[in-house]
Amino acid sequence: MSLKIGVLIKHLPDTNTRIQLKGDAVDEADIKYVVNPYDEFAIEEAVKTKEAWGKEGKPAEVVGICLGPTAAQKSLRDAFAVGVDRGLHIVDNEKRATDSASVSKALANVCAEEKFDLIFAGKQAVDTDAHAVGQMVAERLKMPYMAVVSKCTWSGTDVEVERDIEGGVKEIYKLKLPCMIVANKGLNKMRLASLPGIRAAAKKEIKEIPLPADIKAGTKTSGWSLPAERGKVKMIEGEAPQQAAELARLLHEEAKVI
Amino acid sequence: MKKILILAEHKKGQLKKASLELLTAAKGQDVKAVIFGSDAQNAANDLAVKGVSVVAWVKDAKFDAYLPDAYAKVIEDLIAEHKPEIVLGSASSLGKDLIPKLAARLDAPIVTDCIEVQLDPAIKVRRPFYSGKAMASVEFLPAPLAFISIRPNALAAGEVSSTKGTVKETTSSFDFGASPVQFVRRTQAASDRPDLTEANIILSGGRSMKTKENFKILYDAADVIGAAVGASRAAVDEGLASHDMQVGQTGKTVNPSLYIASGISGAIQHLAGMRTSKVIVAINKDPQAPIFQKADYGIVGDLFQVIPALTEEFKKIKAKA
Repeated sequence: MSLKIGVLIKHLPDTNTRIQLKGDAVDEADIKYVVNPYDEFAIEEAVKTKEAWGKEGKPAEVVGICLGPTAAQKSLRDAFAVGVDRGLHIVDNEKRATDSASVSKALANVCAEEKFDLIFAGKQAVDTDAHAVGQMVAERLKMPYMAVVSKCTWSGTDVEVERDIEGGVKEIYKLKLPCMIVANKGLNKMRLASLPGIRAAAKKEIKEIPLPADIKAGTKTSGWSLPAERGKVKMIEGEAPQQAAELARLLHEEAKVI
Repeated sequence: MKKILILAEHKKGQLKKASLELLTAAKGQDVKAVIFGSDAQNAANDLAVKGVSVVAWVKDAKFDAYLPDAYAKVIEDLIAEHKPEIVLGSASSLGKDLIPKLAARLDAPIVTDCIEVQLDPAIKVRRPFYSGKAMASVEFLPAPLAFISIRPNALAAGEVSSTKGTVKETTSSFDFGASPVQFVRRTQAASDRPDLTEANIILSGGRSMKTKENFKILYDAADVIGAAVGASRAAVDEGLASHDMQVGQTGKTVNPSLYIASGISGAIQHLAGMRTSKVIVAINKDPQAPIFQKADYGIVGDLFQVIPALTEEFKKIKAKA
């Protein structure tokens, strides 16, 4: 029997996007959507782990799970192109699952049915920046996990992970399957999709799963605003020593931050 | 008045500033707190004179290292005992992990990384989205229990109440031996410098720093003014700085009083991570660099000349102070 690896994938605005508002909402018209950058580390680690296990004679398959509107299937296809085998799309065109509690519940329901041996996720999605869904899915599944992981070292079904905490400190933990690993930047670098990979991606299976009727958010978001623009910049002229002296004086006397 | 449970934190026995900010947010409510660490006695006592009626101090050294299930069990028991309506934590390494885990365990709504909070009568918070490219308010629909984490440095550690409470040693029957997750060890901090997300002043370097060694000029300046050192994604991707130093949308969002960007052009994803800084200084060779449009003070010049000169000026100011 082959091992089953799940990877949670979110489809969201590229980090180069300039966010604009329309009414009391984000204007989605000109936004380019991509795979959440932290999920790229999760995808790469899932595929790498599958490859490593394959060499040890332990076959595995990698399943991408994505919650979002129909357009989100593009991110599943992008994941297919770098080695994810098939996809589960929880369809939420009405945007009912809008907070960490509802999203994690819907994802956990699907993961529970798949009975994964190992799940990867990114530490946060760069749209809501909640930094919550990974741990919440693990908790709902009663699956041991470690989050903000920048290194995984496997030996058999045991894994030693490095968790990044404040101040550049790392905490080392040992886990065993089944478990979930929530990725931080630094875990790996996602491979580029190959041409055969992209061709194969178009043919891989995406199973659509309707968002269950009882999934709804426990919070309501409104009152959108953009950050205030700053006043005009004060340019400091002269040679380096004069510039430095004047800047230090301004920071000390005018801005009072030194 | 709401019943609140605070997840407090300390560093070497001293209550963290971010925890004081939680107390400020909870002022006027019925506040209980939990703190972990065999060396946390001073911090626990401090909580008890700052408006917390019962401080549950987990003194047992088995709990000194973070283990999600062990910590969750302690707090789950405290929630059952005290029946709070809101659990408050900081959006720190600990709070970011534990607060969501508990929310899932108790199937309650959660909003993380808030920068404004109203707890009573309705629970309403404000928080950044897209790393601060936009903000919005989030209202909790009525529920018996709500979980909130608050971004460090976002609320002033202002007035707290001064009622006297008690410190109560607390533990839990959690079976460490049977845990499928085992703590192995913790590496030493790279430096005594403040962490980026808690720093009051940050000096950041971009690709123009050219080498890893050149970051020394930023550290020299930082040490004079007690600053942390950050980096742009470009600098991190080229190996000039480590990942934990990255400021921006795929790194850390920072909120200092002063942010000095040297040799950083100001890509939109970098700006997202530092734009709420109170005062922004840009030093760049290129007068057209977009960073100047987001800065309060700008210097067009060679950072390898400007930064060392600035270090000397900071020394003069500090000598006078």
